[in-house]
Amino acid sequence: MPDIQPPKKITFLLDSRLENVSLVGVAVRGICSYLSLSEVDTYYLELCVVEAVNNAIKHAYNSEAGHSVEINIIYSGKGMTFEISDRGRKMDTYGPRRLDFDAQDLFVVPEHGMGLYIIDSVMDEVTYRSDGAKNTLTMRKYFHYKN
Amino acid sequence: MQVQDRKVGDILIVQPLEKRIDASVATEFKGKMVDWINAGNTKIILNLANVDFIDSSGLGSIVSSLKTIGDNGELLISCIQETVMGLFRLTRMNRVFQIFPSEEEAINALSK
Repeated sequence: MPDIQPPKKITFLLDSRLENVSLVGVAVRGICSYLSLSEVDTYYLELCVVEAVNNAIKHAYNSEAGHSVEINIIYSGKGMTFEISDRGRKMDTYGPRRLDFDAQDLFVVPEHGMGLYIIDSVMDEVTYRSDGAKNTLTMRKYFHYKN
Repeated sequence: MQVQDRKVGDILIVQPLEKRIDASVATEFKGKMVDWINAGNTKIILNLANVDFIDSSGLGSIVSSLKTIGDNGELLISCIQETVMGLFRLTRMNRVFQIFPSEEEAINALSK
Protein backbone atom coordinates (compact mmCIF):
# COMPACT_ATOMS: atom_id res chain seq x y z
CA MET A 1 0.00 0.00 0.00
CA PRO A 2 1.58 3.35 -0.99
CA ASP A 3 2.41 5.81 1.79
CA ILE A 4 1.20 8.79 -0.25
CA GLN A 5 -2.43 7.71 -0.04
CA PRO A 6 -4.46 10.64 1.36
CA PRO A 7 -6.42 9.89 4.54
CA LYS A 8 -10.01 8.74 4.12
CA LYS A 9 -12.64 9.16 6.79
CA ILE A 10 -15.96 7.51 7.53
CA THR A 11 -18.31 8.54 10.37
CA PHE A 12 -21.02 6.53 12.11
CA LEU A 13 -23.59 7.69 14.61
CA LEU A 14 -24.85 4.91 16.84
CA ASP A 15 -27.73 4.93 19.30
CA SER A 16 -26.45 3.93 22.74
CA ARG A 17 -27.71 0.33 22.77
CA LEU A 18 -25.32 -2.56 23.27
CA GLU A 19 -27.18 -4.60 20.66
CA ASN A 20 -26.17 -1.99 18.05
CA VAL A 21 -22.44 -2.32 18.69
CA SER A 22 -22.00 -5.35 16.42
CA LEU A 23 -22.92 -3.09 13.48
CA VAL A 24 -19.78 -1.04 14.13
CA GLY A 25 -17.84 -4.29 14.29
CA VAL A 26 -19.12 -5.28 10.87
CA ALA A 27 -18.05 -1.88 9.50
CA VAL A 28 -14.55 -2.20 10.98
CA ARG A 29 -14.23 -5.68 9.51
CA GLY A 30 -15.27 -4.37 6.10
CA ILE A 31 -12.69 -1.59 6.14
CA CYS A 32 -9.97 -3.97 7.36
CA SER A 33 -10.85 -6.38 4.57
CA TYR A 34 -10.62 -3.51 2.05
CA LEU A 35 -7.14 -2.76 3.44
CA SER A 36 -6.17 -6.46 3.20
CA LEU A 37 -5.35 -6.70 6.91
CA SER A 38 -4.91 -10.17 8.41
CA GLU A 39 -7.75 -11.91 10.25
CA VAL A 40 -5.94 -11.53 13.57
CA ASP A 41 -5.24 -7.80 13.06
CA THR A 42 -8.85 -7.31 11.96
CA TYR A 43 -10.14 -9.06 15.08
CA TYR A 44 -7.96 -6.93 17.38
CA LEU A 45 -9.03 -3.65 15.73
CA GLU A 46 -12.71 -4.64 15.82
CA LEU A 47 -12.27 -5.66 19.46
CA CYS A 48 -10.78 -2.27 20.42
CA VAL A 49 -13.54 -0.31 18.71
CA VAL A 50 -16.21 -2.53 20.28
CA GLU A 51 -14.62 -2.10 23.72
CA ALA A 52 -14.47 1.69 23.33
CA VAL A 53 -18.10 1.92 22.18
CA ASN A 54 -19.22 -0.45 24.97
CA ASN A 55 -17.43 1.79 27.48
CA ALA A 56 -19.18 4.88 26.13
CA ILE A 57 -22.59 3.20 26.36
CA LYS A 58 -22.06 1.59 29.77
CA HIS A 59 -20.13 4.32 31.57
CA ALA A 60 -20.81 7.62 29.82
CA TYR A 61 -24.52 6.89 29.32
CA ASN A 62 -25.03 4.37 32.15
CA SER A 63 -26.46 1.88 29.60
CA GLU A 64 -29.31 4.25 28.80
CA ALA A 65 -30.59 4.17 25.22
CA GLY A 66 -31.38 7.28 23.22
CA HIS A 67 -27.94 8.91 23.21
CA SER A 68 -25.44 9.13 20.38
CA VAL A 69 -22.01 7.57 20.13
CA GLU A 70 -19.97 8.98 17.25
CA ILE A 71 -17.36 6.80 15.61
CA ASN A 72 -14.84 8.28 13.17
CA ILE A 73 -12.58 5.90 11.30
CA ILE A 74 -9.70 7.52 9.45
CA TYR A 75 -7.29 5.45 7.41
CA SER A 76 -4.29 6.12 5.24
CA GLY A 77 -1.25 4.25 4.04
CA LYS A 78 0.34 4.83 7.43
CA GLY A 79 -2.36 3.37 9.65
CA MET A 80 -5.81 3.72 11.12
CA THR A 81 -7.25 6.15 13.65
CA PHE A 82 -10.47 5.52 15.55
CA GLU A 83 -12.21 8.35 17.40
CA ILE A 84 -15.04 7.31 19.72
CA SER A 85 -17.03 10.26 21.12
CA ASP A 86 -19.89 10.62 23.56
CA ARG A 87 -21.61 13.47 25.35
CA GLY A 88 -22.17 11.70 28.65
CA ARG A 89 -20.24 11.37 31.89
CA LYS A 90 -16.51 11.66 31.32
CA MET A 91 -13.96 9.21 32.63
CA ASP A 92 -12.39 10.37 35.90
CA THR A 93 -8.90 9.48 34.83
CA TYR A 94 -7.44 7.79 31.82
CA GLY A 95 -4.09 6.05 31.84
CA PRO A 96 -2.47 2.78 30.84
CA ARG A 97 -4.23 -0.17 32.44
CA ARG A 98 -2.55 -3.23 33.88
CA LEU A 99 -3.87 -6.74 34.11
CA ASP A 100 -1.92 -8.41 36.88
CA PHE A 101 -3.37 -11.53 38.42
CA ASP A 102 -2.31 -14.96 39.56
CA ALA A 103 -3.72 -17.38 36.98
CA GLN A 104 -3.61 -20.16 39.59
CA ASP A 105 -5.92 -18.28 41.96
CA LEU A 106 -9.35 -18.42 40.34
CA PHE A 107 -10.92 -15.90 42.67
CA VAL A 108 -8.61 -13.06 41.62
CA VAL A 109 -9.08 -13.67 37.89
CA PRO A 110 -10.85 -10.55 36.56
CA GLU A 111 -14.37 -10.66 35.15
CA HIS A 112 -14.52 -6.91 34.44
CA GLY A 113 -12.23 -4.01 33.65
CA MET A 114 -10.34 -5.65 30.80
CA GLY A 115 -11.54 -3.38 27.97
CA LEU A 116 -9.11 -0.49 28.44
CA TYR A 117 -6.25 -2.93 29.03
CA ILE A 118 -7.04 -4.57 25.67
CA ILE A 119 -7.12 -1.19 23.95
CA ASP A 120 -3.81 -0.14 25.49
CA SER A 121 -2.21 -3.45 24.55
CA VAL A 122 -3.32 -3.47 20.93
CA MET A 123 -3.09 0.18 19.93
CA ASP A 124 0.10 2.20 19.33
CA GLU A 125 -1.33 5.43 20.75
CA VAL A 126 -4.37 6.08 22.93
CA THR A 127 -5.50 9.50 24.14
CA TYR A 128 -8.63 10.68 25.94
CA ARG A 129 -9.85 14.24 26.02
CA SER A 130 -12.95 15.97 27.27
CA ASP A 131 -13.99 19.56 26.63
CA GLY A 132 -16.78 19.36 29.17
CA ALA A 133 -19.48 18.54 26.63
CA LYS A 134 -17.85 15.97 24.40
CA ASN A 135 -15.53 13.13 25.42
CA THR A 136 -13.32 11.49 22.81
CA LEU A 137 -11.15 8.40 23.00
CA THR A 138 -8.67 8.39 20.12
CA MET A 139 -6.88 5.17 19.21
CA ARG A 140 -4.15 4.90 16.60
CA LYS A 141 -2.68 1.81 15.01
CA TYR A 142 0.19 2.12 12.56
CA PHE A 143 0.74 -0.36 9.78
CA HIS A 144 4.06 -2.12 10.06
CA TYR A 145 5.35 -3.37 6.74
CA LYS A 146 8.19 -5.77 6.20
CA ASN A 147 10.63 -4.56 3.52
CA MET B 1 -28.93 -15.89 22.46
CA GLN B 2 -29.21 -19.41 21.06
CA VAL B 3 -27.10 -22.03 22.80
CA GLN B 4 -27.29 -25.76 22.16
CA ASP B 5 -26.77 -28.13 25.08
CA ARG B 6 -26.36 -31.89 24.91
CA LYS B 7 -25.10 -34.66 27.15
CA VAL B 8 -22.29 -37.10 26.43
CA GLY B 9 -22.43 -39.43 29.42
CA ASP B 10 -22.15 -37.18 32.47
CA ILE B 11 -20.54 -34.38 30.45
CA LEU B 12 -22.60 -31.38 29.35
CA ILE B 13 -21.58 -29.90 25.98
CA VAL B 14 -22.58 -26.24 25.63
CA GLN B 15 -22.32 -24.84 22.12
CA PRO B 16 -23.34 -21.26 21.28
CA LEU B 17 -25.05 -21.23 17.89
CA GLU B 18 -24.33 -17.57 17.31
CA LYS B 19 -21.12 -15.97 16.13
CA ARG B 20 -20.70 -13.42 18.91
CA ILE B 21 -20.50 -13.50 22.69
CA ASP B 22 -20.41 -9.78 23.39
CA ALA B 23 -21.70 -7.22 25.87
CA SER B 24 -25.23 -7.42 24.45
CA VAL B 25 -25.60 -11.12 25.34
CA ALA B 26 -23.01 -11.62 28.11
CA THR B 27 -25.51 -11.42 30.99
CA GLU B 28 -27.92 -13.83 29.29
CA PHE B 29 -25.12 -16.27 28.48
CA LYS B 30 -23.80 -16.15 32.05
CA GLY B 31 -27.33 -16.80 33.33
CA LYS B 32 -27.70 -19.90 31.16
CA MET B 33 -24.34 -21.24 32.33
CA VAL B 34 -25.20 -20.64 35.99
CA ASP B 35 -28.53 -22.44 35.49
CA TRP B 36 -26.77 -25.49 34.03
CA ILE B 37 -24.22 -25.50 36.86
CA ASN B 38 -26.92 -25.10 39.53
CA ALA B 39 -28.83 -27.98 37.90
CA GLY B 40 -25.96 -30.25 38.94
CA ASN B 41 -23.71 -30.28 35.88
CA THR B 42 -20.13 -30.55 37.14
CA LYS B 43 -18.37 -31.46 33.90
CA ILE B 44 -18.94 -28.90 31.17
CA ILE B 45 -17.30 -28.36 27.80
CA LEU B 46 -17.85 -24.99 26.13
CA ASN B 47 -17.59 -25.64 22.39
CA LEU B 48 -16.75 -22.33 20.68
CA ALA B 49 -16.66 -23.66 17.11
CA ASN B 50 -19.33 -21.23 15.89
CA VAL B 51 -18.02 -18.19 17.75
CA ASP B 52 -15.82 -15.80 15.80
CA PHE B 53 -15.97 -12.81 18.16
CA ILE B 54 -15.81 -12.44 21.93
CA ASP B 55 -15.33 -9.09 23.67
CA SER B 56 -14.20 -8.49 27.25
CA SER B 57 -17.77 -8.71 28.56
CA GLY B 58 -18.26 -12.06 26.84
CA LEU B 59 -14.94 -13.23 28.21
CA GLY B 60 -15.99 -12.03 31.66
CA SER B 61 -19.15 -14.15 31.45
CA ILE B 62 -17.04 -17.24 30.71
CA VAL B 63 -14.69 -16.44 33.62
CA SER B 64 -17.72 -15.96 35.85
CA SER B 65 -19.02 -19.40 34.81
CA LEU B 66 -15.67 -20.95 35.71
CA LYS B 67 -15.80 -19.26 39.12
CA THR B 68 -19.36 -20.50 39.66
CA ILE B 69 -18.36 -24.10 39.04
CA GLY B 70 -15.22 -23.52 41.15
CA ASP B 71 -13.79 -26.55 42.89
CA ASN B 72 -17.02 -28.50 42.44
CA GLY B 73 -16.37 -29.38 38.82
CA GLU B 74 -14.58 -28.53 35.60
CA LEU B 75 -15.27 -26.18 32.71
CA LEU B 76 -13.19 -26.85 29.61
CA ILE B 77 -13.10 -25.00 26.31
CA SER B 78 -12.87 -26.66 22.89
CA CYS B 79 -12.79 -25.76 19.20
CA ILE B 80 -11.73 -22.16 19.77
CA GLN B 81 -10.99 -20.14 16.63
CA GLU B 82 -7.49 -18.69 16.28
CA THR B 83 -8.72 -15.09 16.34
CA VAL B 84 -10.67 -15.64 19.58
CA MET B 85 -7.66 -17.48 21.00
CA GLY B 86 -5.80 -14.20 20.50
CA LEU B 87 -8.10 -12.56 23.06
CA PHE B 88 -7.42 -15.38 25.54
CA ARG B 89 -3.66 -14.91 25.05
CA LEU B 90 -3.85 -11.11 25.25
CA THR B 91 -5.67 -11.29 28.59
CA ARG B 92 -3.67 -14.36 29.76
CA MET B 93 -6.89 -16.35 30.10
CA ASN B 94 -5.17 -19.15 28.16
CA ARG B 95 -3.40 -19.82 31.47
CA VAL B 96 -6.67 -19.92 33.40
CA PHE B 97 -8.71 -22.24 31.16
CA GLN B 98 -7.97 -25.72 29.87
CA ILE B 99 -8.39 -25.34 26.10
CA PHE B 100 -8.55 -28.27 23.66
CA PRO B 101 -8.45 -28.22 19.84
CA SER B 102 -11.38 -30.64 19.51
CA GLU B 103 -14.47 -31.61 21.48
CA GLU B 104 -13.28 -35.23 21.47
CA GLU B 105 -10.00 -34.30 23.18
CA ALA B 106 -11.88 -32.31 25.80
CA ILE B 107 -14.23 -35.26 26.43
CA ASN B 108 -11.23 -37.57 26.80
CA ALA B 109 -9.65 -35.17 29.31
CA LEU B 110 -12.82 -35.12 31.41
CA SER B 111 -13.27 -38.90 31.18
CA LYS B 112 -9.89 -39.70 32.79
